[in-house]
Amino acid sequence: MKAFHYGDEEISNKEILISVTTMIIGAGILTLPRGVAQSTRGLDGLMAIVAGGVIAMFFAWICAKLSSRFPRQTFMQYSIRLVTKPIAVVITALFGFYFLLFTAYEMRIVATISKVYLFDQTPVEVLGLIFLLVVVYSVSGSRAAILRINLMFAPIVLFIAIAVVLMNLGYFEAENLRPFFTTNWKGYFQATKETSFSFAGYEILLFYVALSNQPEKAPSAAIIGVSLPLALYVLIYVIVIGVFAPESTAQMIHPTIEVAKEVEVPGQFFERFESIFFTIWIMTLFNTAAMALDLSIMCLKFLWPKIKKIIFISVLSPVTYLVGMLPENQLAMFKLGNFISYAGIGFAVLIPTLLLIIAKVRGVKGHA
Amino acid sequence: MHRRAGCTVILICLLTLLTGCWDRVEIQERGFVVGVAIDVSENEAEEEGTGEKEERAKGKERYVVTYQFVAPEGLQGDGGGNAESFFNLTTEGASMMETARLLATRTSRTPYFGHIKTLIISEDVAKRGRLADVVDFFLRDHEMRRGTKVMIAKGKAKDVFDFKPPIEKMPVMFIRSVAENIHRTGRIYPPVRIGDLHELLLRQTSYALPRITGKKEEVKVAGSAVIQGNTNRMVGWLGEEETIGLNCMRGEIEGGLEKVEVEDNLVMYEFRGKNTSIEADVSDIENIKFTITMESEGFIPESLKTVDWMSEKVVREVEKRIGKETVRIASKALNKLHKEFKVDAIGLGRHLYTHHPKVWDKIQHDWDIGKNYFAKSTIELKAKAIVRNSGVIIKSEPIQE
Repeated sequence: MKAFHYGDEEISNKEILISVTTMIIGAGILTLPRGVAQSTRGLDGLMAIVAGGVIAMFFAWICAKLSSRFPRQTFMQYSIRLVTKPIAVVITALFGFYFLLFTAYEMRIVATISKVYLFDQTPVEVLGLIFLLVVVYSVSGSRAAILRINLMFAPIVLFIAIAVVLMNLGYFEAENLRPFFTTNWKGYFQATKETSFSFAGYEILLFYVALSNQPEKAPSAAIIGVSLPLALYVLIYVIVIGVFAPESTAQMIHPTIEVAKEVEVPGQFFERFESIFFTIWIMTLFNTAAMALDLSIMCLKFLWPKIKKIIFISVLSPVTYLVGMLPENQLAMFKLGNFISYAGIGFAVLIPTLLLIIAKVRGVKGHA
Repeated sequence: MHRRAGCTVILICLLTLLTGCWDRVEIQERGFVVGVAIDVSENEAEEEGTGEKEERAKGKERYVVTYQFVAPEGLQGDGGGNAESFFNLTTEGASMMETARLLATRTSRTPYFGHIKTLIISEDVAKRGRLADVVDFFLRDHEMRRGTKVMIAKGKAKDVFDFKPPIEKMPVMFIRSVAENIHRTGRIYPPVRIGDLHELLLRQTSYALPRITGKKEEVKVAGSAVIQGNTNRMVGWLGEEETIGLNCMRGEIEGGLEKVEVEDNLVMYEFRGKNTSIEADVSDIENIKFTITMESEGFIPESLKTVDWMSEKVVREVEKRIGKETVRIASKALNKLHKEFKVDAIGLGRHLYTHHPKVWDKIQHDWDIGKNYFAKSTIELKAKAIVRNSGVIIKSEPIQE
């Protein structure tokens, strides 16, 4: 029956693809141009973004390949088969902790940025709490629903992001893009490192591919899922550099917001375009945070399968809230972000690669 | 039953949250600031009104800042009412934020800065090299937009805001519209947005800003102020004709007039677009050779000298003269910048950065300061004009023999 079409807890590769995109875009898109422009000249940063994207594609493919090797098996199940139970438990616990930090960070970013740009008098604590409550609400429901809502939001998000780019074409100065290829190797390296951070997020593949009804196609979905944010980052970077020049971009905390602020379309509604931009950006962050919290709960559930999900939620959400409110200022917040990024490299690159190598070497595969 | 009662209680509690938001400011309670004028204060640091010496931290300078607010009551109707459509508030302080917050003691409406259209800085502020200091607040605050236009006032910046414009309802709107008339005249330096100024300040390259002259009866936007990029100090003015020259060299002219003499009478030529190309010969950094080629196209809006505009010979001759005239105007500006100020507001340094980055890396700290490679360079001007048409008639009177 049609009504039960979405009644099952499984998703297609479309959802996998968009979830990867959403998870990657997250908060990184706001600060990415600054990090890249700080160490490169002219448009050279573009190469770093492409390099970062290609690296991300490769490791996303590894993550997808690893989990599609074990169709419909959870991360815990196949990692036990690969690296004995104690190690699998430790890895899963670490992942749980990592996703918890991730949720906390996203919540704090939403709260801080909305306070700076939108709500001058409202305390950060209240903004964070409201955001977290909505996230908790969505996590309490079905897992597949979280992934499906990604698919619903993604076109809106991409549409507005492209609108921001198009509406800024009037301020675009090609002269700002010059000179070409004058950055030194250190600069390229630094910028590539910076972009690789912004591409973290594809590690969700390790967990969500288990829900897919066509796991064997997950690796190609993963690659497309990474290429969407890559295209978006490239577009945004070119427009930001063209509009602001690398010198000012390097000095802006959130260049992407500033570029949305530049848009001044005559007429009452669109003259303040950034309000629309914020709306859709918070939608993305909502998706990202919901997935991260959901994964955190999933990891804990692997460790204690008998405890109900709702108990985990009620324990985790206050912890997330407290962790998110811990950084006392913007600097500490960015420090937490950096820490998460470094950890992310470990979780998205090292662990999946090692596991895949072990799987290949020992020839462990599928149902056993 | 208990469950339902619990739910009801929670829902009722939630209702209280719907009543409002923390940051609500009704639109009629907002004071929209549309313009800011910054002057240097002559007074000693004093707490306003009381006269007691200030014991708090003192800055390097004290500023007198005038904020122009919109008075929406005055804007209503078709100018029938006598209500003014704007009011100015002037406060004094060591920083922009200080003056902005002092406003709160003087107005019932919360000042809102999101709609600032123009920022007018007096020449004294610019000459003391305080440009970056005064614009910092306007770049840093989240309410501000990077589209605010920046101008330098000859004399007091405040005077510009006291002017009662004949057509527009607010001085700021009047100024903004005048400054955008670059399609009609080359005497106005193209508007500089505060975001562009941020770029220029960060690049440490020299630049020019539009000049505004304000009196009670008249406000005029013409000419430009030249600012040295490393010190951010204003070094002097370029007059109206020199500004045309600078605009030509920068290729930023969008419209404007040139008059040339043909035999004994005048012919006018109006630009419709200009394209400037710079070529640099960097073989000897002690004497870099630039060739600036200014190409323009336009038409003849007025021909006092009666000539046969259908004759190719005539048109070629006029084009040649226009080219000569362009070079004359541009070299006037160039002489002032190159020989007198020794400051590169043309953007030749920028050209070296974008086209010869390796050379630029060597000389960027001594470009128009220190060893001043700019002053040592040789600059050649070339101009070419194309007369697209001669208007809709050929002659207005027969050619007198």
